[in-house]
Amino acid sequence: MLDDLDYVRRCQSGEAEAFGVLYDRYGDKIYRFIYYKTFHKETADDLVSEVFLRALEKLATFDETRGHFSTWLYQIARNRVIDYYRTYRPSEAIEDCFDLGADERIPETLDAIQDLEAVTAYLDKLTNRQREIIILRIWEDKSYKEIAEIVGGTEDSVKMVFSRSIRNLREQFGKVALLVLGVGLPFSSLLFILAS
Amino acid sequence: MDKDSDIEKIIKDIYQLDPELREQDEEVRKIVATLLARRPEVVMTEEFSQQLRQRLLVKARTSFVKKSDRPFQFYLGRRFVYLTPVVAVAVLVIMLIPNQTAETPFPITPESSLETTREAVDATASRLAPASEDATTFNAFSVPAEPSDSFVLGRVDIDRVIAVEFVSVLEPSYLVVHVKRPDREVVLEADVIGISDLLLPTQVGSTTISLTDSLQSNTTYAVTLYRDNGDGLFDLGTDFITHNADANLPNQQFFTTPSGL
Repeated sequence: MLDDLDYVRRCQSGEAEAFGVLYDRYGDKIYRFIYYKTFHKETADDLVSEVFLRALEKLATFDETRGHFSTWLYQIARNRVIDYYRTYRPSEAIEDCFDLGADERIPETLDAIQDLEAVTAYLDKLTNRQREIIILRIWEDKSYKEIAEIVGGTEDSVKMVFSRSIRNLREQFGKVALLVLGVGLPFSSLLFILAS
Repeated sequence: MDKDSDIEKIIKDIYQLDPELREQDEEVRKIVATLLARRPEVVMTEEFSQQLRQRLLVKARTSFVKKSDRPFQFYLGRRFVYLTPVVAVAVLVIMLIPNQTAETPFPITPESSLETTREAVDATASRLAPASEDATTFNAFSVPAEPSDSFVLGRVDIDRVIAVEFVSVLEPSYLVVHVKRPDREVVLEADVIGISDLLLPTQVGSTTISLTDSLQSNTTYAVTLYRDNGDGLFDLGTDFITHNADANLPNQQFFTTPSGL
């Protein structure tokens, strides 16, 4: 199977169909990445379209010596989400874009609502950078090197943030996590019980 | 990879970074397990994904210019890129002059010269009559100096291919070959026997149209420019005939002779 770079080069030499292959490989991944930052389907639909259109426009400038195509694509997606929130809520701090989208999070099923409650309870306690790194590492299975290329910083700094994030989560939710899995109660109910 | 191995991989990772967390192994495992188990499983709907894919391909076809389609830019450099259309026209005219003297297969006959061409038929080479008028002159005068929706037909080969010596479009379009019915203006699906690839504004030059059906004898055919509606697929119902600014149709007709088969 040809790798991404082969298809990028084909695009750069004028083969439009090669971009279709890249889209097939990364369409759903980028969509998920955006969804994890917004938790809003319609917004993810809009932004994923814009990300691939932007990638298509900028593909001629893609420099293979500066990183992988996939991380370049994730960078575009990340910047597009930040731009979106900057336009959408110009008065708010962009670092807190996860919180900005809280009102619009609309899962489609009851299970999805419970899952969303569970994960957002975790993710709400993290800084934006910690949240990004946790999502990329645990949900997207990205290597530390790839994560560093996407969010910026060194591989070591990403590792450090990741380990601190896990430590934070354990300190805040360690006991709750055991109860959730142990008795099968909704996560939000247990948080409420513990808070009471 | 299953969820258990996912968890193990991440746990191993975490303990390498922070060995002290091993002391709370059970809690750490539950947190990682919860995160993995509650990962929202979202993908684009199939319909949305396909629509976006189609949109991207249409855009890609207009954005990506094949290297083979931009030789003049390569030789002239960026400063003289504006000369590209002029050079292209000049080269085209030069290329067409030898065609006249060689008089190889048969140029498409515009309907205006239908009467004179009926006398000249070579059934072994083509079912089309050669033009009695000067084909080179006809072609050269048809090449526009300014960007426009226009084309100049070349010749039809025996293997069902129509050559288009020159085509220029302002927006993504198709050249469509269809039977010209004397009794009606409307073109039906059944009339269409050839559709070009999607023609792009960035691609000024020659192309070919493969025919899906044999040409019938004693029949008039038309080649018409249709504008793509943005989906990258030719559809007679949704892609419309292109009109020039002066409301003329960029359309050419040719005919097959009674003995053409």
